[in-house]
Amino acid sequence: MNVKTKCGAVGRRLLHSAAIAALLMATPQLAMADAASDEQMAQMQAKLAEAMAAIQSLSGTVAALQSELGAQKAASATTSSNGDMMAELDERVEELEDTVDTIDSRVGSRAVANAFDATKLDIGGFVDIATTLAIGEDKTEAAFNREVFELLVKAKLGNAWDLFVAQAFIRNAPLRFSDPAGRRSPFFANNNSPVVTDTVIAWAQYSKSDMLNVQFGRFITPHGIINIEHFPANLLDPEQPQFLRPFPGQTIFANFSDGVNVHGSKFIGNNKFSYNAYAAAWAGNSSNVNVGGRLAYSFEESGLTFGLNGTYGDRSSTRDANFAVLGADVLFQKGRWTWKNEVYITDEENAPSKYAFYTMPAYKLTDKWTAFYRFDYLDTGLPGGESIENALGLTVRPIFNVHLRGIYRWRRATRDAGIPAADTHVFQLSTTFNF
Amino acid sequence: MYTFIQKIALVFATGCALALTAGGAWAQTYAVVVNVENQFSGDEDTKRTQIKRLYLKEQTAWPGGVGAIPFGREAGSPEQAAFEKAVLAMSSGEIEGHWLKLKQIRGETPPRGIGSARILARQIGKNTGGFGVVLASEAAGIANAKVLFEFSAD
Repeated sequence: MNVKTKCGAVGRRLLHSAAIAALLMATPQLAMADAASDEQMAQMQAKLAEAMAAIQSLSGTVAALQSELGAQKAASATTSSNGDMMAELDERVEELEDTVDTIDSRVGSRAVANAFDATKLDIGGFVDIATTLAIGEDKTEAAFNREVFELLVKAKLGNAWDLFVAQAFIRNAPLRFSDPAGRRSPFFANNNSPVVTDTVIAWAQYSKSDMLNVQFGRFITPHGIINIEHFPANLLDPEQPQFLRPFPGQTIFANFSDGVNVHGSKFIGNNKFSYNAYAAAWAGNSSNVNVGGRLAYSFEESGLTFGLNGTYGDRSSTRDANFAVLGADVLFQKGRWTWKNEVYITDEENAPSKYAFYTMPAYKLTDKWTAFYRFDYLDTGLPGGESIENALGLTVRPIFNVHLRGIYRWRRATRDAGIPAADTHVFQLSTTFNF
Repeated sequence: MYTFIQKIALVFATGCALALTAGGAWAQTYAVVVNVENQFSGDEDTKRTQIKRLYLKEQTAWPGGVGAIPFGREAGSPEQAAFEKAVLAMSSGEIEGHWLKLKQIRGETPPRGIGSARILARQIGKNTGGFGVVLASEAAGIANAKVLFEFSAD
């Protein structure tokens, strides 16, 4: 109870007390009136009436005062509430001003781009540059041998429909050997050739759920670990393992496929199951349909993922060249360690079987620096087709969008079919800028 | 007069009290809030795991089938830093690497980072599958939302 309310209550009590006192004082006088004249009685009644009138008047005054006090209190509460509201409105206006300022600093007076028919449009990409020194048995070569600009566009067409395109502009001069055995005299092939364009990825996808997605178009052939993550911005070593070279090609399987890929994933407790199943033609072999797929199971606690890969098809549209590929991959990713392993074996019609394997442990020295090693083995089954690479690299991301790498690679073509072994030492510096 | 041992005990007790007071002052509590119609339930570990998968876009829908709409907070804000540390349990380098990989492979982008708690609250209240992080003290005032779990960055 506040002070004003207390005053009202005390006032009421005083008035009631005064009224009762007046009545008590009037009672003996009324008793004496029995013996008094009617005139005295009338005077006393008049006085009583005056006292009652005075009491009523005082009651009215107190009620008016109480009413006034109540009104003042309500007005005070309203003022306080308005103050809170104003403070909240001020805060909201400041938030809006900050938001508008942020948008204005990004857009300014520039035009805002709109997608014609997409509900959402994301554009990004990367530039990948490399310079390489190759010291062979008979020759040493150096060049700025790779400049790639790739544009990534993702458009949301509707709730369940997406479109993703990666358009590349490539000047790539891969390391080759000019001697007859292809192992002693390195050179950079196509070093003077113009930039070529390649639609690396162009798929539309319908997503029913996490478990069921259907891709149509050109997609990354979903086998193994490195081919799926194949973008240079992601890779510690932008030179992919030997079985994925030449790029694009199909030494074991093609880097890209044109067709349909059904894929999905499901969490089972702490673990994750994922699958891919595709029917597609491969680059350079568009008249044959290859079928294949991948099953993978990840154990979240241990950081281990096991994958099984298989595909069957025809490598050539001009000769009988059926083939089958069977492969397995193991990824360990926990804490500072990432360890990738893949192995493949093929069965070829009218050609020797191929065998490929790599193991690639990597250790994060800090959040920015990573060191890695890769042992990479490929046997194409052809005379002189066995080669081993040992790569040692150090990479750093000074900022999120920049990936710098220094890699030493010792390539050994082993002695085979009377062809002597030959070593090549390759030093490469590369940078990937992504946005 | 205090004995030497009593003095040591007094200093130790004072130190402990100061440390606890300071710790209490810095131990901010945060809440992951979801739309009030969200039916997902489970123990705290299950909830944290689910939020991590949805935020990182390893899953795109809540277990009931409702499409997830994750919201982040402004980069570098205390809320986002606490969320990355306590719920995602990933370093900034790991998180950047994750989004880089998803951008290149699937064209995915990180969840929208919202600076204002009020704007975030409005988004969560409007979207059935929405979720985000606010100060625990702010959570009670959000209309059409409820707290999924609370956490601190310690």
